[in-house]
Amino acid sequence: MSPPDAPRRARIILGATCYADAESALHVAVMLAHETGGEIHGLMVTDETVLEASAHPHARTVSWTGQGARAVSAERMLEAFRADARAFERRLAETARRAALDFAFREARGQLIGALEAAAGRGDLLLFGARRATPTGQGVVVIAGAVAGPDDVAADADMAALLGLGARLAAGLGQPLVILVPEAMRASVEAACAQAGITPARVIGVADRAALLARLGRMAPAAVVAGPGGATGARPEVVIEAARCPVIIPAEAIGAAGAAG
Amino acid sequence: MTNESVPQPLSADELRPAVRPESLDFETTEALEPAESWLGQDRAVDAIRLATEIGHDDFNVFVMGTPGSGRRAAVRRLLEEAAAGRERPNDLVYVNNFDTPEKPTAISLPPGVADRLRRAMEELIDDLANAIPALFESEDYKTRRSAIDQEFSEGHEEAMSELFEKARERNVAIMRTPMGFSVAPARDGKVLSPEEYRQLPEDEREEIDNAIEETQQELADILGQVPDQQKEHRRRVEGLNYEMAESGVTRSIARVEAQFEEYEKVLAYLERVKRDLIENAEIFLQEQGEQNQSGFPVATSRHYQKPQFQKYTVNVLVSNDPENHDGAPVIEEDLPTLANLIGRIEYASQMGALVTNFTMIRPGALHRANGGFLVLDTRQVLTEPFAWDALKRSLRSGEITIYSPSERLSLISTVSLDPDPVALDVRVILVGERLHYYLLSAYDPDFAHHFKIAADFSDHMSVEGDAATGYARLMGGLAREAGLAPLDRGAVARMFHESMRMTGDAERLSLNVDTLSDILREAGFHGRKRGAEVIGADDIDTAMSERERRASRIRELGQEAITRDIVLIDTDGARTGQINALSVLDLGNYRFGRPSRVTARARMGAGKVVDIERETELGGPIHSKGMLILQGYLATTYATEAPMSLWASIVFEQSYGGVDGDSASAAELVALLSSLADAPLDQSFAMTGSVNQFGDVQAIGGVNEKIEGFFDICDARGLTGRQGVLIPRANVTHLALRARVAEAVEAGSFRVIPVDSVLQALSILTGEPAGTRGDDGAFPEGSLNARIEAQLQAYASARKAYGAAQAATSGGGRS
Repeated sequence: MSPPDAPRRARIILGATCYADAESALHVAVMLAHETGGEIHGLMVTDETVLEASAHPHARTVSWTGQGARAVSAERMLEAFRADARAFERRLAETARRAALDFAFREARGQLIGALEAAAGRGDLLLFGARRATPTGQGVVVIAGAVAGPDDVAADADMAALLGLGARLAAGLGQPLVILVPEAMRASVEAACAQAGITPARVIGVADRAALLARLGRMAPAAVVAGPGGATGARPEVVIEAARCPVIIPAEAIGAAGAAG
Repeated sequence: MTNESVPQPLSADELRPAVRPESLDFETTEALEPAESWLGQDRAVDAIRLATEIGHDDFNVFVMGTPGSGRRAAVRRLLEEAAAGRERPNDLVYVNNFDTPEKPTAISLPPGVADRLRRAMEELIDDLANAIPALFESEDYKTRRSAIDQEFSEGHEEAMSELFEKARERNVAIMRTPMGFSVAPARDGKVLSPEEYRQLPEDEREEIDNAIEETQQELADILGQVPDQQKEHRRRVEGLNYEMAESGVTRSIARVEAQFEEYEKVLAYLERVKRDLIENAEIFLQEQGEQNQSGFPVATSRHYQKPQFQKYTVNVLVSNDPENHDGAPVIEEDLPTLANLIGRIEYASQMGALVTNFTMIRPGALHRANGGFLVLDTRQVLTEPFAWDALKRSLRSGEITIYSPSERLSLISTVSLDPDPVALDVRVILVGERLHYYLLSAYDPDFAHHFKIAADFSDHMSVEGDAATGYARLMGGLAREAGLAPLDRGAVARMFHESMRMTGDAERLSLNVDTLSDILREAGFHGRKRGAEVIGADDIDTAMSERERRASRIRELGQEAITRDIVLIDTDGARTGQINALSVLDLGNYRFGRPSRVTARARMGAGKVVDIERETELGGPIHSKGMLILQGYLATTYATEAPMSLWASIVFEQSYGGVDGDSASAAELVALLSSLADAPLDQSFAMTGSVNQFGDVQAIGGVNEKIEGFFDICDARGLTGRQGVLIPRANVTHLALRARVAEAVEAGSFRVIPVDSVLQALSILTGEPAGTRGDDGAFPEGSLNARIEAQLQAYASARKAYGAAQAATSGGGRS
């Protein structure tokens, strides 16, 4: 047990509702763990909404490769969740061992966002896994729409940290850095980049939340780093749905700080 | 019989060849131009020259002669001369056959081009190893690649995005589940529970069901298109990669092509390399292997050494320096194993399996000698497994084909290569002994076809004409080659003498340059030891006496046994039926003579002469032949009216080893005649010579050693002046005796008497005339022959009387 006043190591909490999503984000988790000196926590969420939907009389699934709709039941779905959890744990253990990282794994029931919020603490990074349908990703997208303004020192620090994380992740993945930002804040974000020595490939201004999501939905990023909802006001689940790729959100950005301190 | 004249002893001058220092017109050999080492070998030299100059195939040459005859040195010199006038042959490389790697391609190139090509390919690979990654790192490539990626991913993402948007509008949620996507009814972004769903109005449920079905179908359609889109994406990316690689490779390889534009085969090879490089450009993008962990600096630019680039290596088998003007190659292969002859394919062990490729092809002597000359030792070629067969196969086909014995015997079944055969244009010179030539001629029907020329090196040369001058130049040349001081005239004269002794003929000079050189080097050593600036006659004498001393342990033991009367040899007095015969023992590099006592006893019998050596299986066939000739002489010379009624036995006394040769047959006959005539033989003499059926004494070998052998015994016991050796007159020209014998003869204390017939010898040894038949057919009364004939007639009469008595006894018994 760590002494009470010892700083807790940051955690990369990789959450997913299926093995395919978890597996697609493992390399990002490893990279982030090395980057932050943290450890990886795997969280397999048995999504009750999915289970409930599977009980629907006309419930069907479409495979990742587009194989036609197949009937499904809640029992079969639950069994699939359990099998994916086992596979997730095995793969996480193997990956962590090879990367010489500490890891932990647990299962939870509920909904993905809620389960990760519940698990997260200050300083943690939440990583939502999502399998991409196409293997190639283009860029690491940072959604920098949460900053309040240039005068807010704390917000400046958060934005700099967010941009820095995005930049390092982009470099690690060999991808260009793309920043999505409310048009109104574009200048301050560019200034922050200049100050931090970050050279994004593109800074794309968006008018509002809908434009942000529409733009994100048409991109094919390798990963997305999202800040607090703030000005863009996009909820994490909406961002995740639009991104369809691994999404990293600092615990603080979804108001989870302290929940699992 | 006309042998009444008594031969006279030879003078001292007749015992030693007449090469006198003052007859030589130089002071030392320094003044002489050195002679070619093939002095006296004109016939063989002309044969070799013919082989080097004639253009036709199969005029390979077999050089035969005894070891030490200077065959190899002469061959080397002659070939170097012939090679110097020829052009340097082509280089030879093996390169990868990209279509069928197990059949590497051979390319013949002008001298010096092979190394250039190898270096050019190494530089090409190094260039590309830097240029191609740079190309794929370039902004141009990234932009174009990104455009392709974007085009494909955006199309998909847009479709997915639209579907998600449409699903929201249709009140349908798309969820990610362990079984793929699940589509469920939703309201305000939240999935409806089955209960909530059931509570909806019928038409609304139907609407939602339709929406779910449509969404599922559209989702399946979008996802189902992904593999095709990815395939197309890959194709486009590969196309881009090919285009990028092609631009880099074409640019780099064009520089190589420009260097070799006159060589069609190289251009064809480079074209194939280009295609392969473009198609496999990704090998230039592979991760570096394990980092250097030794801490020592490593060259970073030698990319061509990496395994993935091995197939672009140029394996240079034969490289000729164009700046080297030595002409065609002259290769001597001392160890002509199959692999050393035709080349070999090496293997490396990988994961327990033996693997190989074209870079592991190694050249053989035939490759290196191609376009020139290959010198091989016959014995070595014949004793190395498969080597002779491979040599003939190559000569017959005019190609060098590399194969291994294990393949041929099906001993291994690993992956191997079948390299392109290489056209062969070589003149093979086999150096061997005469026996090899005769055996090959007799037993190998291919031999005469492939080796049409025989160069037979003589063992000696005649002293006639200006041979002496040439031989003196040879001596000088040998001394110079060995780094010795020159020889003065006396030394040269002494060398002439030794040379004649080596041939066993005072009219022949030895051409065994190895032995001559050995003697000179040893004499040079003694000369240097005494501080002389030239090698003198004394140095030659010292060298020879030292050589004899080193080798004469057995001779001395034999001599000691005689002087101590353990081996009984009389050197004075007289005895009937006993004579000193002479034999020679050859110990390889040293020969010496020694006397042997031969005795003969006779009595009445059935006409048989018993050769005790033969009866005890100690006599060889030639000795037996001599004995039969002896019987023939006896049977046809004396008492021919009556049957041979003699029983005689002849033996080499105290001989416990094998006896062969017929050089004692004259002595054996004389001993038998002495026994028949009851005439004691003078034991002061020894005799050597073979005899024919007419009683003529014929030449034998080793006459010098034989005389010296008997002389040394007599000398040890004290020379009496009566002692001497009877030799065949035909051997007089072979005499080259040591000075000690000549000096004794000069002093009148020893004699060497040439004889023509056994009767002359018998007369000398008995001191009585042999006697010739008179007109009445009878020998003079009391003469040796008369007594021999009378004895034989007495045996016949006795035998007749004995037979009659026996018959009477037998008849009486029956009556």
